[in-house]
Amino acid sequence: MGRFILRRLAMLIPVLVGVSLVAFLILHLAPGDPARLMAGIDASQEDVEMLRHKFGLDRPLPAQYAMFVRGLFTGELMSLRYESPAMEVILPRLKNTLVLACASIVVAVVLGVSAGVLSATHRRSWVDYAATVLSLFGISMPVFWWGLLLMLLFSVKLMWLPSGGMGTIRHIILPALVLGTASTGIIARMTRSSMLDVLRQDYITTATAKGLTRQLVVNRHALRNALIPTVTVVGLQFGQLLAGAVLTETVFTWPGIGRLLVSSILARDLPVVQATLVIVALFFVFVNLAVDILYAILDPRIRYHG
Amino acid sequence: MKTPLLSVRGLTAHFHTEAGIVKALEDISFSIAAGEVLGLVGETGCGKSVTASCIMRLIPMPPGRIVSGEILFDGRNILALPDDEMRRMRGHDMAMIFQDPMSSLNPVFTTGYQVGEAIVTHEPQISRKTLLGRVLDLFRKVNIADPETSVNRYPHMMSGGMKQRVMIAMALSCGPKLLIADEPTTALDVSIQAQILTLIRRLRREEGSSVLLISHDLGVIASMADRVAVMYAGSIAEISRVKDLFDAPQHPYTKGLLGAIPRLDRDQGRLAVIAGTLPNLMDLPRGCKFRERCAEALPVCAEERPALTEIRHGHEVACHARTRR
Amino acid sequence: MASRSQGSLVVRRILRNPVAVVGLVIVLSYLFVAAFAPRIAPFDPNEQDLSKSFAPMSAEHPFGCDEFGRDLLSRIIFGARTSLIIQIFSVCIALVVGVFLGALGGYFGGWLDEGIMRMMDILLAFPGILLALAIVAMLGPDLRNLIIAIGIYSIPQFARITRGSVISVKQNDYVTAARAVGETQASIILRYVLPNAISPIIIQTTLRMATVLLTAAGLGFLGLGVQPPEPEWGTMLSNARMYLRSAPMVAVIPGLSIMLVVLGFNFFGDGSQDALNPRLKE
Repeated sequence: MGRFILRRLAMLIPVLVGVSLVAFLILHLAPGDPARLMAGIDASQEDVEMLRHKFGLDRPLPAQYAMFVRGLFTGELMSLRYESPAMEVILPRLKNTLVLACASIVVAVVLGVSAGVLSATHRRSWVDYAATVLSLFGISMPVFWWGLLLMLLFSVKLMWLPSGGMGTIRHIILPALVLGTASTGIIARMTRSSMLDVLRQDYITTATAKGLTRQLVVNRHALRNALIPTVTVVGLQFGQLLAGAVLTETVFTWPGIGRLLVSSILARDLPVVQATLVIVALFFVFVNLAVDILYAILDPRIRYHG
Repeated sequence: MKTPLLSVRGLTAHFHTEAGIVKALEDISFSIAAGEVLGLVGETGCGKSVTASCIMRLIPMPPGRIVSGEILFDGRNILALPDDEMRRMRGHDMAMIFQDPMSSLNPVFTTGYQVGEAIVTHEPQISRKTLLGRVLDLFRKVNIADPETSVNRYPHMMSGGMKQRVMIAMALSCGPKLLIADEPTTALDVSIQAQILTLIRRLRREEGSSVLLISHDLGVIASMADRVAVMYAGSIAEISRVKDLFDAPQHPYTKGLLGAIPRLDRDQGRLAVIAGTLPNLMDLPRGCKFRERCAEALPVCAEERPALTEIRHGHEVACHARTRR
Repeated sequence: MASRSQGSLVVRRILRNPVAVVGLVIVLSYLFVAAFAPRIAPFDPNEQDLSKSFAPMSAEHPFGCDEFGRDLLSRIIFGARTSLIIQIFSVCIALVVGVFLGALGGYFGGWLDEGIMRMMDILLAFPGILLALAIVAMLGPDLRNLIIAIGIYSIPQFARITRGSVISVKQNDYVTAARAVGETQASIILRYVLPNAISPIIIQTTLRMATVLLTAAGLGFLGLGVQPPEPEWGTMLSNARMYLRSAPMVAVIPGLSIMLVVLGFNFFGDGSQDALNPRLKE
C-alpha cells in the first residue's frame, strides 16, 4: 500500500510542474505587454515599468518562471489589489469554497447514489424513467439560472432563505443544492450503470442462493462493488464543484475562491488569478490521488496487485 | 413408495426477449429420492441450468416466466411459496454450487466471510466464536489447506479449485437436504476436476444429501449418479438408472450422445457425431424436437410431440419409435 | 452492406427510445431556428425602442421586451445562432486536435503516448470551466476567443476517448492483417482503426455539444463571454439579473432556452449511448 501511494505521488510530479507552467504561461497568452495589462490602460509609463521590474517581466522566461514558483511559496507573489501575498488572499476564501463544495458533494452523493440504486433495482419501471429524466435535467441545468430560479422562489417569493452571503446554516442551503445538482445527476447515472453491471454478476446469484434477503444482496453485495467506479466519479465531481463554484458563488455572493477569481480577472489582479489556478489544480490533483487510494481500499484486487 | 424429496411436475418456463419468446423448458417432470444423486445431462442450451434455477427460484422474472407446472419439495409446492419463505429455504434446505467459481464469489469480501454469511443468514443468533469454528470446520471438510489463513483471504488470491471448494463449503454450511451442482467441474483444469468430484462424492456419503448433478459430461454422470435424465431442447428425452442408460439406451438422442464419447476399451473407428443442429427454441417444430436429426423417425414424429412413457420399471423415454411398436 | 444494416438497426433502436426521440426533436428544432433565424425572427434583435422597455408578453412580443425594449423572442432566436456557432467551431477544434492526438498516442503507444497523455492530464487538472475561463480572460472576451478557449478545454476528452477506442480496436485481427500486407501506418489508422473507433467519438461529440453550450453561457453570465449587444443567452441572462425582481421573465427565458437545448443534446446522447452499447441490450 505504501509503495502504491509513493508511486502515485511520483506520477504527480510532471503534472504539478505542468500545472504551474500553464498558470505561469497564461499571463503571456494575452496580446501585448503583460506589464501594461496588469497596470491598466490609464497607468503611466513609470508605473508600467515599475510593475515590469517587480514581476521580473524584464527577465528571460525561465527566470520568470522560477520567480513565479518561488513567489507562490514565499509569499513574494503579491496581489495587486490587496497589497498582500496572493496566498494570503486566497486561503481564507478557499476555506469558504471547500465548505460549500463539501456540503454539495454530500448532497450529491446521498441523492445520486440512492437514485442510481433505485433506478437499477427497478429497471424499466417508472422509478427508473423518472430518475433518468431527472438526472438528465440536473446535468443540463445551467447552474447560474437554476440558482436564480431557486432564489426567486425561496428568497424573493417565499422569503424562507437568504438570497446571498455567508454565515448561518440557512445561507448554505441554496448554494449547496444548486452547486450539487449536476453532480447528483452524474453520480446517479454512473451508479445506475455500474449497479446494473454488478447485478448481472454471478456472485449476486450466489448471494441470493445463500438465502440473503433482496435488501442485503443489493445493499451489501451489489452496492459495495458498484460503488468502486462511482468513487472515481465522485472524485472528478469534486473538481467540477470547485470550478462550478465560480458561477454559484457569483449568484449567491458567497465569498469563496470562485468569486475571487472572477473579480481578480476583471480587476486585472493577475498574480491572484495565477495563484488561484495553481491552488485549485493542486487541490483537484490531490483529491484524485485520495480517490485512487480509496479505490484500492474498496477493491482488494488492486490493493494486492498494486 | 415413499414420497420423493423433490418432484418436478410438468414444469414449463419461457423467456421473453426482444427477439421473441424462448421456450426454455417444456413439460419437465422428474423426481429425486432422499439421498439419491440424479444426473441431468444434455448439450449446452438444452435447459439444464434453467431447470436448476427454477428449483432454487433464481430465474429473473421478467424476462423469465414459469408458465405451468409445480415443484414439490418435501411435499410443498415451492413455486407457490411467498418470496420470504422461499428465501429461508435457499441455502438452508437446498443449496447450489455454480459452474464458474472464478466469478461466483464476491471479490470484495473474504472467503471466510462469505461462507459465514450463509450460516448467519439462517441462524442469526449464532455467536461470532461459534461461527468462526463452524466456518473453519467447513473449510477443513472440503480440504482447504491452512483454513485459519484461508478464511481471511480474498477470492482473487485463490486458485479456481480452491474457490470451488469454498463454494462447496458455502453450499454445505447449513446441511441442505438437496444440493444442486450445476456443472461443478466444467470451468476447472482436468486434474482439479477429479479432486472436486471425489470431494462431492465423499461429502454426499457423509452428509446424506440428495444431489442434482448437472453436466454435459457423460463420464462425470456415470461415475457419480444413481439415475440420469437426458435433456434435449427443453424437454426430457429419457430417464433411467445409470446402468440401464449406458447398457441399453432407448432414445435415439441418447444413443447418439453415447456414441459421441470416445472409448478406449473398444475400437469404434470414427467417433459418431449427431448430424444437424439444435432446433430454435423460439420456433419449435410441431412434432418431436429431435425428428430432424433422427435416423429412426416415423411419420407420427412430425405430427405429435412424444410424451415421457415408462417402458420398463424405472426407465422412461419420450420417443414414438419406442412406445408405438 | 453489413454495416449499413447494422446502422439502420442502431437508428431503429434510437427511435424506439422515447428519451432519445425527445432529444432529437429538440436538437432538430434548435438547428432549424439557428439556421433560419433571420427569417423566423419577427424583429431585428438589436433594434431598441425604449418606450417598450420591459413590455409584458403580448401577441406582438410573445416573450415581451428587455430593458432596451428589444424583442426578447427575436433575441432568443438569434441567440440560438450564436450558440450554434460557438458549439460547432469549438467542438470542431477539439475534435480535430483531440482525435489526432488520441489516435497518435493510442496507435503508437510508448513515450509518444505517455507524453500526450501527461499533457492531457495537465489540462484536465484545471477542472470544468476554469481553463476556459482563464484563457478567455487573458485573450480578451469576444466570440472568437471564446471559441478558442472552449475548444482547447475540450481537447483532452476527445483525446482520451479516441485513445481508448483506438487501443481496443488495434488489437483486432483485421488491423494485424492490414499491417501484414504492408499498408502504411497512416492508411491503417485512417481506413481501419478510426472508422471502427468512431461510435464513442460520436457520442462524446453529442454530449460535448451540451457541455460546451453550458460553458459558453456560463462565461457569458460572468461577463467574459460574447459581449453585448450581440444576442447570447448567457450574456442576456447576466444583464437581466439586475431586474430580476421587477422583470423575472427577461432572465428566466434565456436560461430556459439554454436548459432546453442542453437537455436535447443530453437526451439524444444518452439515448444513443444505450442504442450503440451492445452490452446493455438484452
